[in-house]
Amino acid sequence: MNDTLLFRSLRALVLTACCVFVVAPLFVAVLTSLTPLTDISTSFAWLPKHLTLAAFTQIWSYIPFSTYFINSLIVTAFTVGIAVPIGVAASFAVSRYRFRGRRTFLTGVLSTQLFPGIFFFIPLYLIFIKLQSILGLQIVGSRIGLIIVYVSFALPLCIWVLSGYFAAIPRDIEQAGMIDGLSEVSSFVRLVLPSNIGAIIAVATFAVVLSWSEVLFASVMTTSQTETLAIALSDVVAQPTDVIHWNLIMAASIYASVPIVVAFSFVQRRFVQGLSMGAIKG
Amino acid sequence: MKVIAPEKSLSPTPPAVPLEAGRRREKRIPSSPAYRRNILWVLLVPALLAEFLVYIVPILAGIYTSFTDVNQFTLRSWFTAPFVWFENFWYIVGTRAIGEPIVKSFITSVVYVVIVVVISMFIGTTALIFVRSLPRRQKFFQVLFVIPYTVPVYAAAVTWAFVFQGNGAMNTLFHSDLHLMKSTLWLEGDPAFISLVIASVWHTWPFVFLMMLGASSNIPTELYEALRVDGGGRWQEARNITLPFVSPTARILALLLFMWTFNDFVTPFVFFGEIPPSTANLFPLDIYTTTFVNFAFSVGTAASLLAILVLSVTIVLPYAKITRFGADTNE
Repeated sequence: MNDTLLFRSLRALVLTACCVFVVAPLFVAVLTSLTPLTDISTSFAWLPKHLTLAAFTQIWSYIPFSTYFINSLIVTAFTVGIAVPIGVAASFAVSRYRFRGRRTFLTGVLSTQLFPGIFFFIPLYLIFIKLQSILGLQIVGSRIGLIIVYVSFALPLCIWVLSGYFAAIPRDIEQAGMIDGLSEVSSFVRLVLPSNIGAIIAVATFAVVLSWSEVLFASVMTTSQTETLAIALSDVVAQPTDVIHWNLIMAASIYASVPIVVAFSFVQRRFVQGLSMGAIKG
Repeated sequence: MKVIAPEKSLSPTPPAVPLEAGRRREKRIPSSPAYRRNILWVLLVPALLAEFLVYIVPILAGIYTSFTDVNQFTLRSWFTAPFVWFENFWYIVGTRAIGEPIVKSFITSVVYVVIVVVISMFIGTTALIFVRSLPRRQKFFQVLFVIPYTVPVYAAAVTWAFVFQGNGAMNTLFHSDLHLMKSTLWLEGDPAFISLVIASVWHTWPFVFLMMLGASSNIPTELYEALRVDGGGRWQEARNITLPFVSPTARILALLLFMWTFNDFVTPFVFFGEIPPSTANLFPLDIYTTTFVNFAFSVGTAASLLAILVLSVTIVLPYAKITRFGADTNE
């Protein structure tokens, strides 16, 4: 289509502005992480005089960064691994069965989003302590506690997106499978799921982003052994030093961001596909 | 215009009844045999358990707490603290020194959230329309624009806090380089509110863009072709095809963003710590101070509960009613 000059110049203007807005803080972060600390204490300069990679190596000894990295990886992997199957099962039930309380279930799941974390995190903490003494299993301070919390946090969005998505898939494929002797569930799992992997990737991404960056609950549910990256960042910020080590903070932020940004760029196309079909509609 | 869908059905016999009729008939049969009910339970129980343990029970406990008196003295015996009925609520409403800052921070928060959501929805949708119209390099923008959503909130907040420092990038750019304005303390007074909005929009609009991208990716190209044959331009495309197509997603997204942004505690906390400037004293931060700095736990939960009630009645429910949210996903 031949666009008018007005449209093309407006488009160039808007997209450039968006790019600048997106990139500017990222650029500042990268630049600061490469600047020696002595240069940072003066005014910020867009073109620094000296560049060094010191902050990126220094951070590993400044705090036990590798431990936090591994913790984050473990927590995220388990969260996704548990939340996605649970979410798929519940969404399948909601989209394929009519039952009493179905609407209540869907509305209830979304209403949880109304409540701020600070509202219920002390009660949750106390319940976990109680459970701990009943089960004789360490929950608070262990990775298990955090995984349970994140799984539950990821589920509402998972269920909401997937149930809309599944509802839009015609049932004739499953019915064909059932004629051939598969059960309702297994024909769904074996015939429908594999061709709709995009939706799974989409909700898995939500879970990854959530568990990788959550701070509030991680700050009370972990010990120094089980801290995640997001908390590690706040540790770097809170280090009692006379000057704020902005270069280290930025280096840590970049380390924390790069894995998830790169991972997401890889699945981005699938992700968008996964959101396309009938997903999230009112 | 009719789009002819390819026959994808694997079923051996072509459906004799039209799909519409088939659906209607299925819905009229309420019976679900026992074995189906069992499967249903197996499928739903894990999700129900998780939601009950982490959301429902703690939320109920939180509601209970707002009717008791838990403070630094009764903290140890949380669930046996004296039941005081509506005393906390009367305390908030009746004591000016307590109630006024809470109400003020609530209003600040609502204004802040509305501004952030409206701007984010606007930028996200505008960017979507322009990116979709690009003849090439769509992928590049799709990947670039989504980066802020994937950057952990904390990392983003810290970076913006650094940008807004007195000797930070904001002042360097607008004061020293461009000479557009005086050197400004971006984290104090009125500018603090603006700084917060900027940082929050930066993190929010890419999510709008992403969801819209998903919602718009299966718009049949035939629609655009038809419009082009009729001589419609880009503006008609956006107004008559793209926007109507993404609007169901947009409506629900706006509501979710509203709740998420309202409850976002990390950004203001990273910016201001426990002592925010009064212009940017957002509700979650104020509750945090009440709860964990002053140890007035019950007052804190009571205030949260009040806020949730007020928000539900004045904004969420009317909004859901207008946009018909909650109408069945199948229909």
